[in-house]
Amino acid sequence: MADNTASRLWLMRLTFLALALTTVFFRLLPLDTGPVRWPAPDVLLALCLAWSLRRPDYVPVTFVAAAILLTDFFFQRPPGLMAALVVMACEAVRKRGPGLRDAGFLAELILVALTILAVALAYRVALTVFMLPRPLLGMSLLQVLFTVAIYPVVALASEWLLGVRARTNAELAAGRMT
Amino acid sequence: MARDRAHHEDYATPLRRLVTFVVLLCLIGLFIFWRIDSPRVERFRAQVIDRVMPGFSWAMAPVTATVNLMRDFQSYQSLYAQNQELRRELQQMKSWKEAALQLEQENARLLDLNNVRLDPQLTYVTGVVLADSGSPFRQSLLLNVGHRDGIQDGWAAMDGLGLVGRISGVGERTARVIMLTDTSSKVPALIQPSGQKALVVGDNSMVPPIDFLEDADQVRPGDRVITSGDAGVLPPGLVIGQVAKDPGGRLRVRLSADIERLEFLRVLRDHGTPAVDGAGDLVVPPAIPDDLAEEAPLPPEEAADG
Repeated sequence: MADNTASRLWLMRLTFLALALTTVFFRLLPLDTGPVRWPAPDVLLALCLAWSLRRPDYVPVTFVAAAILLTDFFFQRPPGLMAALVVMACEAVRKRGPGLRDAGFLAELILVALTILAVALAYRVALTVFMLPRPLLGMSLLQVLFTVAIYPVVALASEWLLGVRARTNAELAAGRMT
Repeated sequence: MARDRAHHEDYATPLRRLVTFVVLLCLIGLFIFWRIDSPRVERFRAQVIDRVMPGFSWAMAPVTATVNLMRDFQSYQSLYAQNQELRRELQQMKSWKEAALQLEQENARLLDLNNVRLDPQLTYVTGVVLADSGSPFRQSLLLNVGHRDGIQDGWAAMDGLGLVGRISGVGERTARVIMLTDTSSKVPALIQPSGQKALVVGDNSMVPPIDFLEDADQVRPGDRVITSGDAGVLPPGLVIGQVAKDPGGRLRVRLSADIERLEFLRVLRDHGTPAVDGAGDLVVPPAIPDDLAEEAPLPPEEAADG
């Protein structure tokens, strides 16, 4: 069971961090410096959710928190708020993961869509409560939409290219036995 | 088997839950601390970016260049049409060039006549745009000049054509420019030739609206918008753009700066206008020291006699 060895585990954890940094890197490229008409999808959020749904052991809480906190700092967001929300979202998804293991992709997509929407709404509510300037509602909703749309791509890419697939109950049991 | 797994998770869960809780507490604590003492955390943010950004920048330049190259390559497909268009434009440009040369000569003559000395304090530092804001909701840029180059908060940043924004957040080697189009940017402006004062308020669109205008009737589309320098926010007289009217009838500024493709920005050194402390300083000549006071009264008498 090469899948379970510690070196593989840490390799995947570091891969997660590297992917997070890569998304930040591409978001920061000064290609279009003016205002954009369409907000880009939040690939990092999709990545966090996909991995914590499929293989929670690859994305420890501290890694998620560190990655999102870094983006908070870079993207001029209130530091800590988005990170806290995403950590909570990942925890929620992680808890429902075992129930969804054999339920198919559509159920997973619906769960993730609702989670992304909840994160966006909670973020907005928090900004309102703390009397901070809020981004346009339409833009935020569009971003939610695009993030949900990009999720299957992220999930399937990490499944095929990196082998981050949910273990079925049978596999899990077999893995524990050895 | 199921019991085995449950047992395993029972063992791991409390620890993980504790870690999650602590992490959440730290993050929310950081957020609330930021809300209370924003400048301190913003300084920390500048330091973090300052530390991480140089690690990115070596890779960023080639990737940006490659993407731009590919974009340019796409435009090769329409090479012929573009060539024709350029030739047409070139012909127009030639006539404009002639006009510009004449105007330049005239301008030089007039400057000479007036014995104008352009403001020597408006020197600038030029920086390369390192990174974008990365977020669709914020409009800012990161420059590769910072505190070690003498950059200070509040200085104006321009591209060759017009104002782009102002410095907000200076790290040791990087500085952030909040662009005019950012929702938190509000710049006092003067509209020429009517001399109306207004604010250019960013709203995350390409053409920021004009707000707090005294009399909108005196302003026409095409009027020049420059900074007024009110409240010492930015040096006066920097070109912002031209007035335009949107379909809803609202007055907006079409920026002179080409904000979609910024590569270099010049940051204007601005040492501010010295404040006038007392009203008397303006009218009365400065007090004469005691040892000179005896000689001093003489010249006015001579002047009076003459």
